[in-house]
Amino acid sequence: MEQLPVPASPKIPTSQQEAQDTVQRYLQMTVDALPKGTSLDGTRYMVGSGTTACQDNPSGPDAPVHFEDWRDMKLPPGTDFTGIITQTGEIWKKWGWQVIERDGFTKPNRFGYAPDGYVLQIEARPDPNQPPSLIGSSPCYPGNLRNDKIPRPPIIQQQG
Amino acid sequence: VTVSVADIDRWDPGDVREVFHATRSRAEAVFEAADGIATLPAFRTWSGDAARAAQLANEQLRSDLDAHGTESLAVARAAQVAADDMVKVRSDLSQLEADVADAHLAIDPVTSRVMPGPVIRDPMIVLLAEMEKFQERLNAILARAAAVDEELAGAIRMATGADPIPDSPHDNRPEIQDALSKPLPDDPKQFHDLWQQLTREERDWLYRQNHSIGNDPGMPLVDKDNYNRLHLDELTRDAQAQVDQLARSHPEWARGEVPLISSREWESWKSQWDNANHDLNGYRAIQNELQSNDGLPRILGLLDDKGHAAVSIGNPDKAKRNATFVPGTGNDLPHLQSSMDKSVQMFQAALRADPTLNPGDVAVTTWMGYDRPLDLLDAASSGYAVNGAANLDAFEAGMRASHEGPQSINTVIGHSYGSTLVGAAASGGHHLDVNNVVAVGSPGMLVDRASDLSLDPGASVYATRARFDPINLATGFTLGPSPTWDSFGAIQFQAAPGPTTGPGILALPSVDAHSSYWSAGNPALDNMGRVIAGLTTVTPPTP
Repeated sequence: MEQLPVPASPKIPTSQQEAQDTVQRYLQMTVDALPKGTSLDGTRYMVGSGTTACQDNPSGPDAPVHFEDWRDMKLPPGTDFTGIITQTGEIWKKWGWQVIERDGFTKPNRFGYAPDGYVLQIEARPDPNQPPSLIGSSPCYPGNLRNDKIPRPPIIQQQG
Repeated sequence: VTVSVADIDRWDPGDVREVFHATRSRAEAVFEAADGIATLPAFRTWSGDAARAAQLANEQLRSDLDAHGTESLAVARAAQVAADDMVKVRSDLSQLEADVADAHLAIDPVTSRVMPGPVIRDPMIVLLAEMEKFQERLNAILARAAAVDEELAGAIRMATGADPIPDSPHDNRPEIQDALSKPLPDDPKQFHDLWQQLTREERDWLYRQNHSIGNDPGMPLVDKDNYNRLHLDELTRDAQAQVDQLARSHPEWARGEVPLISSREWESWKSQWDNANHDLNGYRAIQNELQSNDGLPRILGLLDDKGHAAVSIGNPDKAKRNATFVPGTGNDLPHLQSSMDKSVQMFQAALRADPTLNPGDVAVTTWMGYDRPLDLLDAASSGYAVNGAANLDAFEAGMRASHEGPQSINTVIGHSYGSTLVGAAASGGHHLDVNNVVAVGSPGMLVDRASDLSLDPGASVYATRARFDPINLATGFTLGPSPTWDSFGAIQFQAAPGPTTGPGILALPSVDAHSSYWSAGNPALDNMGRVIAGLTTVTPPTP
């Protein structure tokens, strides 16, 4: 059975803003480390707020939720999609994250587990001619912190 | 109006149906007379001023006859609704009486109270808890009975002229006037064809006759949304008025103060208070979902006052990929958000699986159109699924009938007991008009094999279950074999094993594993996205 890494120093978000800011910071750091011309396009995934319950039957207003941010990768022409997935995993490793390829998802894929409990995942498409997707997820936090009104940037461009 | 169990026992739906048949016959005779005038041979050969004058008079006469026939029909419809509702109330009461007898309790028909039976077998504390549970069910039945009583009184007042009969439309197209004089077609395709020919005024008139018309299969989803939102506003106002009235009657109880000594009045008030707040919270939860501002439409495709609703993300009539999510045990309208969250996740997963799809190409509907078991003990019974099967069957057939453009790829995803309902809707004489069925954490689908399900030609059945999902243990295999057994014949796909409970070394199943399927880090969601997107490759479970 596949064993998933356990975060070394988990940090439960204390606000919705913190969860979103942290996910988006990790996504920004990732895109900044990739080849020039790369961006993360979330315009197809603006449905909902990105926040979802961690339990099927939430026990009350405090029942935990977590935040996810889904993106299509826009890559420079001619990019090797398999290579970019491997490269992204290596970037996360350099940050001290645990990185694995998981079963059950389209391969190649890489899941990066941060020490604070946040997760990034880059995954090939079922159609290998399409560029990969990238998703960031926060740890679960109390549901009474949920705020569905905080906007997400449609596109994350490289900075600097 | 108070109605007792003894009153319900005296009800005879047959008598009310006679009113329906008599008024219906009268309406048909009048409509026949109106049609007959239109086809009199003299009007085909006669010409000149006198003929034109006669023609005008004829039009007026036909209009008057149509109006009279429609009035008779309004009474007939009201009687029919009352008779149907009486049957339902009596059926629910019979079921409750049987359950009460099984528990060695009894119902006093005059006071409408659940009482200890002649033989007391359980400790008093257990007995009281049982009685309270049954009393709540009885109170709900009595409340519905009071509403039926009022419906019937309304029909009688209309028939005797004490109440005005609602206005009625007149359509110069004889086939449309004829269609409006009859019950609307049950067949979704026929309903859709008729609906498309009606004027806005005629549609609005039909809504005034029946505030649940937005649930009729075959109506375009945008029209369902229009009429169901009107109904939602009305139901919300009624529920708020009920809460306000109860609060006024006992302000201290409404503030949460509990009397030192319990009384029947307190018990009755508390039961009504809980039910009214539950209803209001359910309607508010629907309103919240409809107010989403992410740029995608939210469509209220189903609504009633019995805890049923369906909310679509995107427009199913225009979508190329159309999914319906059926939640399971314990999901209730006040918690609609958690089910809608799962639909959002599946919407995203479908887009992720196929980057050529745009958001407008996809719709995911959260369908809560059946009475769901509220705990795992209840979930061992097939009754909830069997009772709700026709509703899902009709809803899916309706979406096919109203869909615009080339046929969409339709998928139904059932979670937990929702998959049992899906199984019931595709067996036992029902047909589910879909291309894919997905059973997630299923306790059984009431059939032995996937091939026993009645689906569209070439349809696929998928199944997944987290390794530590305890669902089969909880229900004791009373609902059929697990769809994830090889012998069932479903296409299985990978799900994360889910968390365990107890000491790690024992790796015991956990309730959390039953609900861990909709996170981005779970391959089950990835695979559901592929199926909804119309892809046929999923990742099989690893040993």
